[in-house]
Amino acid sequence: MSRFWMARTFWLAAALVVLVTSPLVASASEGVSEGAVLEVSNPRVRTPMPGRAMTAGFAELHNPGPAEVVIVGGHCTCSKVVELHVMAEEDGVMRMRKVDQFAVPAAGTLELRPGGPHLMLIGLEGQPLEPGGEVVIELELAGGASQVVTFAVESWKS
Amino acid sequence: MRLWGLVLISAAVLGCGSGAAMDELEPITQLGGDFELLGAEGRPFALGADRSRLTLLFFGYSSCPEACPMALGRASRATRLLAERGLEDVVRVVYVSVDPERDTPEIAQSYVDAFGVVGVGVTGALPDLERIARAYGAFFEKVESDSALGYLVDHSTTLYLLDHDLVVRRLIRSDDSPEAIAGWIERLATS
Repeated sequence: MSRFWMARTFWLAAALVVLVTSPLVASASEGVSEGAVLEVSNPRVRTPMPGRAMTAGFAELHNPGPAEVVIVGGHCTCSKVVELHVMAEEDGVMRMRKVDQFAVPAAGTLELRPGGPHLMLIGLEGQPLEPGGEVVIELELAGGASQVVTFAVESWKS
Repeated sequence: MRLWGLVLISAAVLGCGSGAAMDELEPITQLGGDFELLGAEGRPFALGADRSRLTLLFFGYSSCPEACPMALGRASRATRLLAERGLEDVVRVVYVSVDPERDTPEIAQSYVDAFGVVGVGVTGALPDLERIARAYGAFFEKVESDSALGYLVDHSTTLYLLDHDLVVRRLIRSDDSPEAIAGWIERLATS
C-alpha cells in the first residue's frame, strides 16, 4: 500500500472514530450542568507526568438530542490552551493530530479516551493538579454555546 | 518513505510471531543489534556494555502524551509482576528518545525514572537514531502541527524484548498485556 493510501486510510479511520455513533444508554446525570446539551460521564484528567506541563482529558459525551453537537474548542483556567486531538494506531505506528472539532452524533456518544480522541491541556499553570482534585473545563460548541464540565483529577499512573 | 518499508517489515515479523506454530520467543535475527548513544551527563551509552539483564527497548519521545506513557506503563507493571515472583533484577528498560531537539539525555532519563523501573533514557544525533531505528524496524517521523505542542512525532509503539546477547526475542505490541510481557520475560530469564 502506498504512503498516500496509508495516510488516507488513517484519516478515514480517525474520522470514523470521532463520528461513530454508539447505542450507549445515557448514564445518570454525572457531570451534567444546568441547561447542558451533552450528558457527560466519567470526566477525568490526569496529573501531568513529572516535569511536564501538559496532560489529557477524557470523558464519555452523550448527545440525547435530535441534532449533532459539535465541539470546536475548550477553555480551562488550569492551562494556557485546550486542544482537540485524535490518535490512531496503524501498523504499529501511533499518530496524533490536532483537529478543529469533535462531532457528537444525534442520540449518540463520543468517547474521549486514551489512545483515541481526547482533550489536550497544554501549558498547565496555577495550582498543580493533584489526585482527588477537580478542574473545570468549558467546552466551546459550534453556534456559540458552551458547556461547563467538572473533571476529576486522577494520577497519571492510573 | 524508506521508513515505511521498515514498518512493513516489522508488521510482517509481528504477523509471523503470532503464528501458533512458531515459538513465541524464537530469535528474530533480521532485526536488532548493538548501538551507542548518549546517556545522562553526556556519557556514552552502549547497549551491549551491560548484559546482566534482559532488555525492554522502546523508541519514543518525552512530550508524547499517550502512546509512550502507555507503553512504559505496561513495562513498569510487568516488572512489578516479576518482582512479586522474585524476579526483580532480570530486566532493564532502555528508552531511546527519537526527539533530540527537545529531549536531552537527562530528560530521557527522568522520563524512565518516573515509571519506577530500572532503566536508562538515551538519545543522540538524528542520523544515529535513524540508523538504529532502521536496524530494529522501528519508525519515527516528525510532523509539523499548529498545536501548541509544536511539532508532533509519529512513532512505533513496539516494545522490543532482547535477550542477554541483544537478540530480539519478542516484538511486544501495544495490546499485549503486562501479564503477557511478564510471562515472556520470566520464560526468557529462567530458560
